[in-house]
Amino acid sequence: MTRLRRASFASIVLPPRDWFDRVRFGGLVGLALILLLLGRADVGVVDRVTHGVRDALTPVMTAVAEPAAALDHAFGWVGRQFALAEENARLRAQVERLSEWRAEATRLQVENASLREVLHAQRRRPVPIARTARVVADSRSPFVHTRLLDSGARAGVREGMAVLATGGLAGRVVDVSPRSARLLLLTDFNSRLPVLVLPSRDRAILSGDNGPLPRLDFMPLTPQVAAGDRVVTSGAAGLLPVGLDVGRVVRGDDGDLRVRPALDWRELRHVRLVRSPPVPADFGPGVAGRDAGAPRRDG
Amino acid sequence: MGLHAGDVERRLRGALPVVLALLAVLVDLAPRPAAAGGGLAPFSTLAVVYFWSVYRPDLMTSAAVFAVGLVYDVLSGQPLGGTALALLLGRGALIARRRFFDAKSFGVIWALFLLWAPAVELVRYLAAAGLLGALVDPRPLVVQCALTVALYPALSWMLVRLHGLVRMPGYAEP
Repeated sequence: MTRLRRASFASIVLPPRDWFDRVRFGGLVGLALILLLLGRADVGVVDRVTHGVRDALTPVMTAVAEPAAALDHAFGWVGRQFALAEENARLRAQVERLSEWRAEATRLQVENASLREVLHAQRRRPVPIARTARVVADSRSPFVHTRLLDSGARAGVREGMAVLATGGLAGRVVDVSPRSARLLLLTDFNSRLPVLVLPSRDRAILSGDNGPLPRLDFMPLTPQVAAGDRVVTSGAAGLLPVGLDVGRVVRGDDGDLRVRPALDWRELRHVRLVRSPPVPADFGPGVAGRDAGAPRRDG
Repeated sequence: MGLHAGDVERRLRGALPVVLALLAVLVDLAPRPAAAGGGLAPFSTLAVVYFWSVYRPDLMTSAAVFAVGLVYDVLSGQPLGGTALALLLGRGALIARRRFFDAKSFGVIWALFLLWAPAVELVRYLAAAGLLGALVDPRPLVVQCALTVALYPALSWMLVRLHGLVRMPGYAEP
């Protein structure tokens, strides 16, 4: 009896429902394809809808991120207890080394100030921090390396701002909505940052390729770069402030010159957003969009 | 005419699979600062969508799958529509073979997930590669896929407990 009832129910109800399901399925597949294509075309209305959804969900993500961070912190705390003695020794050595550096820095600061006075050079302003933001979502994807930040245009975040994390540069802001923003990490496939290798002052473009070590592209024909050299932002084209720490040069497995980012990935929870200031005139020749060897303009 | 308390309860229970899938999205994307730029973790949303598409496709509708995929794309910053498309096609493939799942053991369902998950990830990969205009390194995707398949038994165990809340005669039982 039950068998009969179920069969008749299925034969009456299922076919039209199936048909409706198929139409809906086809429509949604078409819509997904259209969205994929529109993503390439930068259509304003899609952006607005995306931003609206993202802004609405950012507080939810913040609520989820908090316990996740606490859990992570708790595990980290347990792990650290086992390594305390070792870490203590390491930190002592570091303090000793840094004290020497501090003395050297103070000496250089005084010398620098007096030289600037002699040259009537403009004083370099400290990097202007616009504000801090919290990382609330991780792209967690093999395709894109981005993070979602909980501050947006209403908090003064603007596209192109440099993003600093513990250790060094994390990337830059690429997509801003009123209440959230997207940070494009320097390892992302689409990330291109103008950098300067020190001490050779060779300029290059740091290109992400979704791997952990972004590549140095467009180097001079005879680069004077060696593994271990420091890499900082060059400020070319006024894209980012000058002199932000990016990382150290390493030789990749493929023989390319690559950079190991200085930022501490484990501490990528809170970031500082840096305003892109007008290019300072006193960073020396060969940077800031001027031709190499151009005469300096002082004062 | 208001809704009966029973109706409200039924609807809340009916929404459970979608709510759990959205929760999986949030858990998947919660920042867990790891080693490098794209610290890898299982894609648990995929496992949740698979589970409900197999056992309660009437509650994990194509519209729901589309919405879950879209939310994932919006929050993760991936090509908009890529995950939605992959999950939709994945659900479509499961629905077309839904009679197959009747009275199948967990091992069979898991084995099928082993085939299904890489296929869905492949669609996501092709969508992303098409949009980026380059074939990005697929190895992280393989690792992510392996982690997701490994996570499935534990996740399935939890979801089976919750399945009791939306059980209905006439559907495959986990």
